Amino acid sequence: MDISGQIVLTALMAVFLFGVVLFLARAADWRTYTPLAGGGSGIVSQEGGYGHAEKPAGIFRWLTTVDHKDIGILYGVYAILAFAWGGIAVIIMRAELITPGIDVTQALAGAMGVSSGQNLYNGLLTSHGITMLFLFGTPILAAFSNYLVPLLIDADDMAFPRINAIAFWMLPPGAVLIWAGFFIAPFVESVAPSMASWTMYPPQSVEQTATGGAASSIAQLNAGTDLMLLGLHLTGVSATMGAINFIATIFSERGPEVGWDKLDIFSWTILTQSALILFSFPLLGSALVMLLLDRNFATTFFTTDGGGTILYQHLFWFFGHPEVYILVLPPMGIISYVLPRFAGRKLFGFKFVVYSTLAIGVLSFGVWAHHMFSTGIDPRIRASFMAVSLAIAIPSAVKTFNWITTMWNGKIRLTTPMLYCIGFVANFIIGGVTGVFLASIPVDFLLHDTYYVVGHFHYVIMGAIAFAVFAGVYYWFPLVTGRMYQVTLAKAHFWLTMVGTNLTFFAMILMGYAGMPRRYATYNLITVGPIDLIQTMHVLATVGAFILLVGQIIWLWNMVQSYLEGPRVGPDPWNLEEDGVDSREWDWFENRLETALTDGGEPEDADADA
Amino acid sequence: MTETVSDRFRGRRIVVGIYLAVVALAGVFGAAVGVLLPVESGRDIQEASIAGLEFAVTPLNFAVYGVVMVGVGLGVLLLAVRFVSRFDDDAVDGN
Ligand code: HEM
Ligand SMILES: [Cu+2]
Repeated sequence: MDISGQIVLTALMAVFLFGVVLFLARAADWRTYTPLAGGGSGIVSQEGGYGHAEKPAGIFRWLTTVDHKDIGILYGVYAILAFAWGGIAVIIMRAELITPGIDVTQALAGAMGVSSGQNLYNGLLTSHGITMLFLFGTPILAAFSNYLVPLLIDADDMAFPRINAIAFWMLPPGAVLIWAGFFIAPFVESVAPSMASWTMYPPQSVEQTATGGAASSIAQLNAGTDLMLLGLHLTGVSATMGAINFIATIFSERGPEVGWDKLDIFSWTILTQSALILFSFPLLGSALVMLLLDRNFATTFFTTDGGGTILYQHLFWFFGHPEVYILVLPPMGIISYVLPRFAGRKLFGFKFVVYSTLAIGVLSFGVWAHHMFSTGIDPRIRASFMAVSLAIAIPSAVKTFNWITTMWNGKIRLTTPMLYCIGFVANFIIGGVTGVFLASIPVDFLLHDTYYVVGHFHYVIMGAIAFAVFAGVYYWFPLVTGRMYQVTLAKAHFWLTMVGTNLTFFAMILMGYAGMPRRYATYNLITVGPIDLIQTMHVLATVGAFILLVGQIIWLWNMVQSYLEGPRVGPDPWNLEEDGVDSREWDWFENRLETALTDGGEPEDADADA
Repeated sequence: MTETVSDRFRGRRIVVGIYLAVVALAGVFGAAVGVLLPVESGRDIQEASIAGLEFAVTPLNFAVYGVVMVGVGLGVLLLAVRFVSRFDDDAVDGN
């Protein structure tokens, strides 16, 4: 086709897209989200209560909203999309690892514009890690905190509602940049998905070209990595803005009845998490900028004749270890909040749970070099980091202890959120204990960079953090949608997720013992263990991953279907009042239901199946 | 359908149930490690010793090892929970 033909086509496409935008914006009965039982018939929801009386209908509502609840939902939807991307990436990787040689990714590489199966695998690995940590993990927690913290502390909204919206809207471009390598690779030969892995260690991350080899003087650096670094920077700025907002909100927007002694456990963890973000993310930002300068402007921050590659590792892990606690503290808060409700009692040792949260927050800045034991840093430094790393297990154990004691003296209702809470505790113990072993220098020498490490942190990240997220999603689903999910599907989701997680990640721990190194697409050339044994475990891990996939598809279906058609709930869907464990957000919910009714909701709807 | 499960389980039964499940699982995992270690080339570990006690690396021995280690370790924790829970003012279990 000649040039003018293409121009005409492009113009037609533009007109078409413009039409779509107009349609979306105009569509009068675009399904407007109504946060509670009333209406839902396409009229602007009855945003009574406070603050946001009028909202435009349709898509503009979501583009312009500064309401913390809407922004919470936006974070949630965004995070779930990212979860899907990261999940699909890892499913391809697990399929590749069924056999020792290279096959699945090799078959896909050509179509995706990547030079080899190995390179595609490395790109997927990088994308999976970064996506799950920065585009799923942090945002899904922000979904909970945005929706709930203002309700829990009786604030009108966040301290800076517009900054809140800006912080969210930096994330979509961030994701596009981070994934850009995949989008561009099929069209531009010198660009590939970044293969730097989530740690982005130089010199490799500075020199790698699109074809994967180190740069010769003429080879072109892979712009996919530059785009990813820029996107990552954007998400870091977003997280920092959010953190400042939460700190300001919790300090200055609490209602008259919410003194520091009345602050709930979830808000405590969000406050601590925000402080960690504030102190660690700027450092990541700086390290990323230095990396970009090294790549593009011939600076020498991390080259051997400059600061050296170890400098990068120090900077990265000074951020990186607090980051794991940034991800785990709010889930611990969710568990501390939800678990007692279904044990019919108050959390045991509330004060100590708060203190241990603060202790973890402080200590988490003193352990970063346990990721660098095998780099040849000074042995005295190593020993001190080992000591602090063992010490940080204590506050985590205190929390675990309090959860178990809470259950011990409680009467337990095994609802889906409660099952996820119990699963959290079980998996967190395994994740924590495997971590303590790694924190001991001699053990780490054996297991560093093997699948054992992968097993360790996935027990925490998938087995605990994601479990807490699911506990929270199920527990607050009625609060957000005014409806109940399908219980049978939810139980199926739990059991598939529990079995899948333990199968996958325990196989990885065993593989680590057998010496299987992490981050490889193939294992036909390794010399550590018998290949057929390693293959058996890879197959088990892959089976587990597919079980997980099935579970998550069921979950998505359940969420969408129940949001649209689930039975409406009454003001106390969990019967919390029976045990005297009701809390502020459900009071708010009850209040909203009542206002909705007097405002002309449909009462027969609201208590039909309550 | 709402999920207002009305069956209530006594907390300690659930906790003890989980304890037993975990200890049993530790046995399975121990057996897996017992299969793994001897066949791992390069290291070829046939014997292990703890505190001077020597034993052959077999699935059964390692299963026992896993059960004892985890059983005792978590058992101590459980006893501690039992002890501390006497000072729990919000207990609802009734005994
Ligand atoms: C309970 C106390 C914990 C201890 C003592 C601990 C210890 C360790 C150690 C020593 C390593 C380095 C392993 C190596 O590369 O050789 C490590 C790796 C890792 N840990 Fe933990 N950990 C703990 C909890 C957690 C938690 C709660 C998370 C996540 C929220 C986590 C996430 C990670 C990650 C992501 C890595 C891998 C880093 C890499 O890419 O090499 N850990 N952990
Ligand atoms: Cu760490």
